[in-house]
Amino acid sequence: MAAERAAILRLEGLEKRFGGVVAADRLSLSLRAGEVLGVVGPNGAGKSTLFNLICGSIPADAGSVLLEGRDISRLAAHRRARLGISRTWQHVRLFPSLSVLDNLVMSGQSYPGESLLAALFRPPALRRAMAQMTRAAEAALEAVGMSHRAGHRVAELSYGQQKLVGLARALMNEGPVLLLDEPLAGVDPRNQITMRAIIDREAARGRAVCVIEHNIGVLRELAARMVFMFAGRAEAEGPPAAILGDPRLRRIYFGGTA
Amino acid sequence: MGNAPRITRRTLGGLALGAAALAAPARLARAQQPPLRFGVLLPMTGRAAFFGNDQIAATSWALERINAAGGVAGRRLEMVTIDSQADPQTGINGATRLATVDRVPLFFVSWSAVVNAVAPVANRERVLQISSGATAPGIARLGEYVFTMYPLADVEGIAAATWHVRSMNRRRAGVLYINNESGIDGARVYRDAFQAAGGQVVAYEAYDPRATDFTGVLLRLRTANPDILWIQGDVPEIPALVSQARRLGLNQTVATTSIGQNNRVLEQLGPAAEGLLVTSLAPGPQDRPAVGAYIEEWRRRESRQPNGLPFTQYFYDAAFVAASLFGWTLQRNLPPSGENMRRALVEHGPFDLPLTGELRIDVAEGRHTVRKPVYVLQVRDGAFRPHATIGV
Amino acid sequence: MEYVLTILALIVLWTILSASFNLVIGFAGLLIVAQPLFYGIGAYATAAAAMFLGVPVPLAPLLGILAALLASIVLSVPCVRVSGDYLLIASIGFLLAGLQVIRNTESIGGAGGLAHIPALFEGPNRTLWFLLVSGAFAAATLWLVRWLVSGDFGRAVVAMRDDEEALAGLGRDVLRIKVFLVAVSAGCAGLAGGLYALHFQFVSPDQFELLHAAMMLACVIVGGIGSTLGPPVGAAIVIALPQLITMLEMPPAVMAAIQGMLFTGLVIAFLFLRPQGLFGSAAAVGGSRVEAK
Ligand SMILES: Nc1ncnc2c1ncn2[C@@H]1O[C@H](COP(=O)(O)OP(=O)(O)OP(=O)(O)O)[C@@H](O)[C@H]1O
Ligand SMILES: [Mg+2]
Repeated sequence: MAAERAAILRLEGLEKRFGGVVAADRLSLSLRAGEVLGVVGPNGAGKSTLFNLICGSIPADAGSVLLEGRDISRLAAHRRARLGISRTWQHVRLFPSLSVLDNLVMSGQSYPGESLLAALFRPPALRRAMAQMTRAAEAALEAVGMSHRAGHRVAELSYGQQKLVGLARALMNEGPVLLLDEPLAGVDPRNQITMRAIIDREAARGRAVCVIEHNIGVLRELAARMVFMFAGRAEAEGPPAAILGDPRLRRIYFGGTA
Repeated sequence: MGNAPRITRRTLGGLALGAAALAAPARLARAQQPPLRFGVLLPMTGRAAFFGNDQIAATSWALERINAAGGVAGRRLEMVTIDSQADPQTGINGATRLATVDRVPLFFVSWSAVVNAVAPVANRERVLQISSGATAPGIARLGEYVFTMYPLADVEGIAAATWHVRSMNRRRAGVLYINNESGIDGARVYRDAFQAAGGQVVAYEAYDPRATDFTGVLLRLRTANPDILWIQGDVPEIPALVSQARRLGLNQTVATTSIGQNNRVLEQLGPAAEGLLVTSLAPGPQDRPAVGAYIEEWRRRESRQPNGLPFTQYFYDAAFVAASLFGWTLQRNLPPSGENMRRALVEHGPFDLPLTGELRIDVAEGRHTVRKPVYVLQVRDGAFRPHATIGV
Repeated sequence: MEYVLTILALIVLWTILSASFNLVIGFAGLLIVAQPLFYGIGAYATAAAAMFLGVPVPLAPLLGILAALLASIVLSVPCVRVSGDYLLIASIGFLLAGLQVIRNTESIGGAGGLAHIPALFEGPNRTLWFLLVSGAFAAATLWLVRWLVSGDFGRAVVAMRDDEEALAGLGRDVLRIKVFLVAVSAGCAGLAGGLYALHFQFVSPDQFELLHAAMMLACVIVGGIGSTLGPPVGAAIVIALPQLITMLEMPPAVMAAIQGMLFTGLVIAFLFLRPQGLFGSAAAVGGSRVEAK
């Protein structure tokens, strides 16, 4: 079973400090194909920072990120995304000036909008790609049950709906790695069911999915493996039952939030 | 009822026509002698306004005097002032307005950048442009309609260098110049003239426009051991330069341009200013009594000295140049157009002006310059005293 | 008439300048204020091409555009990585350094400026012709800006202004968008500079100072940050107002106060009373990002 689930993403000794705060401390982890990895830990443990280091929004002080064996630590964020690292943000971060559908299109991997020549000449191949991407975006919205909101502005959506759109936007990138930062927080129970179904489905398709969640009840059902983070360290790693049963970690977790 | 307003309006119209008819003879009578007008394009607002406004005041006092004495052939002489802000683009707009809206045939202008910028307007619109306070050498070649009555940069440097060699018997000059356009050009003129007169330039050192410490260049200068120091600089750093030179034991005669003729230099240097030689491009009260009366007029009207005294002298005299040019065209029954103003200037010959003396404008094609005597002043007992006059 | 045409010509040139400045500062949200330098480089390169390189006068502005474009790349490639205040400081430094180079290059007139530049049009109707030609270029610039900020490219620009980090995280090359926008903007400014040089026939470093960035900013803010129709109106007000004020007969002291405060006053008044400018939509001013959190 372990042999079948190859490590797609490997982190080796990642370190990051913000002034005196250690947000990542010799972090080494791997994400495997077809697996949902849960990340838990108290506020400020460095969970979101972990995602930022993987996708390159912030540079690591030390350590490396390997995607399918290739060191991508030096690549800019957009290059990593194009290699197939897709993510959502804890605070969603949709583009408020764009419609819901255009938010999704922005994540389409063949979107050529920033290319000089494409912007100037709009060749037919580009038009076809754009049409195709619009169809893909419509499908992704359909999957999260948000088709009826395609033309709306982001501000007209509830927070839970924005989270769904954020997930759909991440799904536009069909690469091997999917990073979800607190996807369930603020989402009503009915939509939580939709989300969980999608997460299960994406893992079943062979993607490596990593989910940060404070909703531990849901996470233990989703994830086969969990990492407990504290003060930038991966404090413990293992099956959910083992992590959640450890009284020391429980103390850190609830002590940390108090 | 409905007709009433129409009738009223018609009546009013008739009244207006009648009034116009009545007024016409009066207007006609004045139209026979409309005032003669020339333009003045100077910074009235902005960073250079404190110079520009004093220059305008000088011109307006000269106009008072001319008009009190009957104007030009019985006609009033007036000026149209426009603010250039010492900014090239604002100057272009102003010159265009003078030439095409106010339709003056002649205007006076100052500030090298503005003089340069408005020259195409003058040439195109065939309006005579006279620079009365700019020194950039390129002004000599700005085109058919552009002249200067203020000596350009080379006049001062050549006169001073030649005089240092011939009259002061100096043989080894040390030249110190500010590293900007006027500094580079001015230093070159002085160096070439000093060598042409038979002297030797033993040191030639530049300093940064923002420098405050000059030890490095001064030490190199001391090693070269010149017998005269020529500073081609700007007002702010001259006191520092001179005092640092003295402290480093450079006791040679220090000479500089008309820039140095500034009360700030005296105040900041105190006794260290004694012996400093400066040149001036306009005569002082000792050279011309009228200048003394003029300075007295400033004290009476404004209770102060004008900012940039020599420049205001030229602007005072600008009104007299305008009067002469208008007079020349009227005498020959020529309409005072820009073309005729230019002709007047070219054919007029020397002007005798109250505050700056004789003015001979060199009208050779492609080299519109002016030769003026250069006055040398020396600091003695804490004041600039006349020292010598270097003839043309 | 000539005077009015001259002022109109300036308004048209400043429409090009402020529309292209708006592209960078309004649409892309980049605090790059080196626009006067790109304008100046365009003017100098055009003048030099026509005077010293024997390029036919009507083609000379092409060199101006090219030079301004290249200069913008020299600034933007190393600098657009940083953002906000640093970008502002870096671009001011670039502007000052560029002007310093011009001041010290004697072959193009140095600090005293470059005179005797040939004219694009001669004859009695030269300003009218110039107005028509530069008006056409101004219309083209407005159209170009509008076209760039709508459509596929425009959507990426809008998203970048909303949330640059998120956009990069989705796989869009934010750096490239910025460099491209700055280059287009500089190219337009270079064109305006070229036209300027060939009409007014004299250029000097004083005409491209930081002060002129403040004037362009006033055009953009008065017209409306991030609006496509604002620039001509902003330019008209900023260019014509000082001229109208000089027509009022006022004592120099009052005039000095008014002229000195004009641009700052306009900017402050608009920022407080009508931050979206005359033509902008309130949404374009930014701040709507908060709602998404
Ligand atoms: N860009 C940044 N600059 C400075 N400090 C930061 C930055 N990002 C994160 N930090 C700090 O790093 C630490 C870890 O933050 P991070 O957001 O990764 O925590 P988290 O585990 O995601 O917490 P939460 O559960 O509240 O989302 C915190 O102390 C945070 O203040
Ligand atoms: Mg977090």
